[in-house]
Amino acid sequence: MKRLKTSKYFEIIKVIFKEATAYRLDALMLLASSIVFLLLYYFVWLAIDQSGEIPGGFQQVITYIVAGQIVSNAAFTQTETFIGDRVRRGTIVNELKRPISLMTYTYFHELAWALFNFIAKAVPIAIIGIIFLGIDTPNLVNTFFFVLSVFLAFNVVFLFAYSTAMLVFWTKVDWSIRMMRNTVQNLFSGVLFPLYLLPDTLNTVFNLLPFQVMADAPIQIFTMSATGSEIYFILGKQIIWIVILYFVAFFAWKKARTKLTVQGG
Amino acid sequence: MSLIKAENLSKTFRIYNQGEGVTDYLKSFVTRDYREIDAVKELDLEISKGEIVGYIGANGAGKSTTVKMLTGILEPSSGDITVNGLNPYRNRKKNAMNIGVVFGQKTQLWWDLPVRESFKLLKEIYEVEDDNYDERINEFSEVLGLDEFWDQPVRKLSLGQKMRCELAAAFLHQPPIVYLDEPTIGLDVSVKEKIRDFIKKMNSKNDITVMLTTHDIDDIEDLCERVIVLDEGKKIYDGRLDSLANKFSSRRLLVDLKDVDSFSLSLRGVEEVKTNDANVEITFDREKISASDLIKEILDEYEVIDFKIKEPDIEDVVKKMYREGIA
Amino acid sequence: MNLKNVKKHLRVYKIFFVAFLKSRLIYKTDFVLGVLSQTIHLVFSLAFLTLIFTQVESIQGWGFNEILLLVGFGGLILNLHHIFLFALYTFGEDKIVTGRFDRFLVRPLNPLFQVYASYVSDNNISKLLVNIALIVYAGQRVDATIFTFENLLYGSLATVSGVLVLAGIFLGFATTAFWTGRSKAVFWLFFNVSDFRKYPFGIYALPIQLMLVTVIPIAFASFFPVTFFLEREQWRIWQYLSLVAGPIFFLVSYKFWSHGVSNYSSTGS
Repeated sequence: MKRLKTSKYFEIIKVIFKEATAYRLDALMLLASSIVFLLLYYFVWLAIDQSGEIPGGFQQVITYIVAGQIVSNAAFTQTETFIGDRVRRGTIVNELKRPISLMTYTYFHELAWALFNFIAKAVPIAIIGIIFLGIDTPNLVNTFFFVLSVFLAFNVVFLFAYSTAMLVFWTKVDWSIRMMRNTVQNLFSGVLFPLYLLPDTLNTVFNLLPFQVMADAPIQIFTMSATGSEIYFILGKQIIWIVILYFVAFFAWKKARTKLTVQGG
Repeated sequence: MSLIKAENLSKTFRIYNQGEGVTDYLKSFVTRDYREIDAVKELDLEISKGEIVGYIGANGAGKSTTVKMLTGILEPSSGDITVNGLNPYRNRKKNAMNIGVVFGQKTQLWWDLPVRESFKLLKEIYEVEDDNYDERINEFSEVLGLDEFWDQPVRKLSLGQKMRCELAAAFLHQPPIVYLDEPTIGLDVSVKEKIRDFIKKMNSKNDITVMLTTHDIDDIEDLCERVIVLDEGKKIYDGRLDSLANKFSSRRLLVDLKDVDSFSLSLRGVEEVKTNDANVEITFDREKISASDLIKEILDEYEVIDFKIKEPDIEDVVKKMYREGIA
Repeated sequence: MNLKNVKKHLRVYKIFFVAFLKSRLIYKTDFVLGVLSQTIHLVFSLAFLTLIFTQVESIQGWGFNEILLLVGFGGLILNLHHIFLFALYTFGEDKIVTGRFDRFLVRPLNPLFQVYASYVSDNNISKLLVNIALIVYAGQRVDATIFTFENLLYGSLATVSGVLVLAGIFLGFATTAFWTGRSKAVFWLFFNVSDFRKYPFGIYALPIQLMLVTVIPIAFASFFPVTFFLEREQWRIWQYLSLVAGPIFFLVSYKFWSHGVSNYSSTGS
């Protein structure tokens, strides 16, 4: 029985890679967008560095920003679109008829995409960052834990996005919810503004939110600002948030499911 | 005096091979691998004022391509077209004032707006005078039953309701020519009848020329006196419907049998027998043998699990034309 | 292109615009969520700028209030454009692939106009108000005197030209859909590039500056006009160029669009 299940999940992954080739223009444009983002903030931070003094220096900032793009390209899923499309088209009923729970199915769908994005976008960004922007690279140990942390970050993002995606069952529109989540997430996770540059009070607040473990956590490992046992602390924090958000997502999903069965598709 | 005249009309398309993988995609920026398709080949067409002409053929025969050229959407690869004295491609906007078009299931109304607002917009676009507008909307409403959903957004309409609006929209400005491309596809019988009545009324009352592309044989038998048959881009028949009538009498019977392999049939009126994995498809001429007689014969001889009579099909008409010769 | 024709297009647009907005208000959840998400986005953008300025007093002589003015004015032009002319964003997916564009070719109206008249971005109306507020707020706090008649005159002309610049960019990007059938994806790229307008032109390397005045000339729709308000003389030529950049760029784009239309008519998509 376990063997049967794994082959089913493998099937999903194969389907994703097929989907991905159909959307290759999209993937190319998203990669290009990421590069444009890096270009912009390279010059912005350079100008800031010339006008003032950045704590830690320019090199550290730019490494952080690039790491942020590596993480966000791989781990930041757009689950609301997956759910939203199916709710609007009415095909969500098909997903519910499957022997796997919707949450599990969505998880593997998004995981496969994350894998694809890691190869198609995150890795090229890393290469561009190293060759053209001269960022610092982590040592082998940190690289390993970085990849692990990105995977954990993906789980955090997925659970959070899945919870907000449940709102689509009530609102029917997904793009505005997704946009709000992305806006909030991008700022609080460090993707837009390096968290270590924040004034102390803000820093404390941001560190209490789940968003910090979505990007800033793995970024710290990448930039080597967290080493040795500090890494375990970061990974632990991510796991705690995964557990918390799992319950949130499950609760949200239960509520959504009751609404569906009451309303009937 | 011909309203629509096409001479030696041809349209060739290039289909490029895009490939599947990333390497193929990148390659497509450098080399272009393609094949050419002749959608319409040296077509001659002449339609006079007041006619309702049926333009029929199998899928992919080139009908939609012809209509797109006549309406000015596509530029012909070669040949001349004159509609109402104008070249429709070179005088697209001017020609547009004089035509009405229904494109199958693609709506011409504004999706998010109530039907009422769409017609208001069309009135303005086609410069319909106020009193004419009111008069026509009332008239159309009567025949097509538009007031049921006049205030609803188009998005919420059923297919039948949408098509009724489409017809009304096409005739709103009383153009001399209206092109109807599959206007009854997917509709139920009562709606189809309403639409056919409407078309007949518009044609008889206001002498509006109609070019009707359809797969529905009943549409043709009800509306058209003249049919033009297209096959693989070439015109194979252009003349009166009654001369073709016997070609329209083929029907198909699908029979699910216990034992498919031992099936054989030789009755008068049976035109073709095709054995598939699970069933047998029998094409017969309903003028020569009735469906009930045919079924009775089969039931007597074989163990039948289930059977079904299929809707009349244009492809059968074309096939028959080739088999028996035109007219 | 005669007067009667133009009037007809305007009348049609007015009917459409009013009816569309009315229909949007029926979908209150959709409308409210749209406004909410755009407002949150704007608020967070401003929060981000505030954070940037915790690190530095001014960037190349542009302080926090100067940047706010830049963001506000550039945003104003963007919003004005988007309210009326955003429909091209989904041109490929919504008009080409579906075959809806054929319908536009069969009506006695300009096809591009019909694309524009298929959508109004009501979200941008609320953003417009916020950006105006931003201009008023920042305008009072910068070194130069902003609210003069001369600035109003120049600003109005620059806004019109700026909207045309954006329209030209959008038209250029959307025209690619005639060949690819997709338009949304290429616009994601543009949305990222448009963020370049929020910062002083001088911080960018030459190749990027070139791009921002030629291929994607948003500098004319944000930076240069604002230097006029701030009385920065060294950009004088560019400030005047900004007034003509729009019409010129739009005309060039329109030629490209026309080429796309005739290609569509010969290849049949």
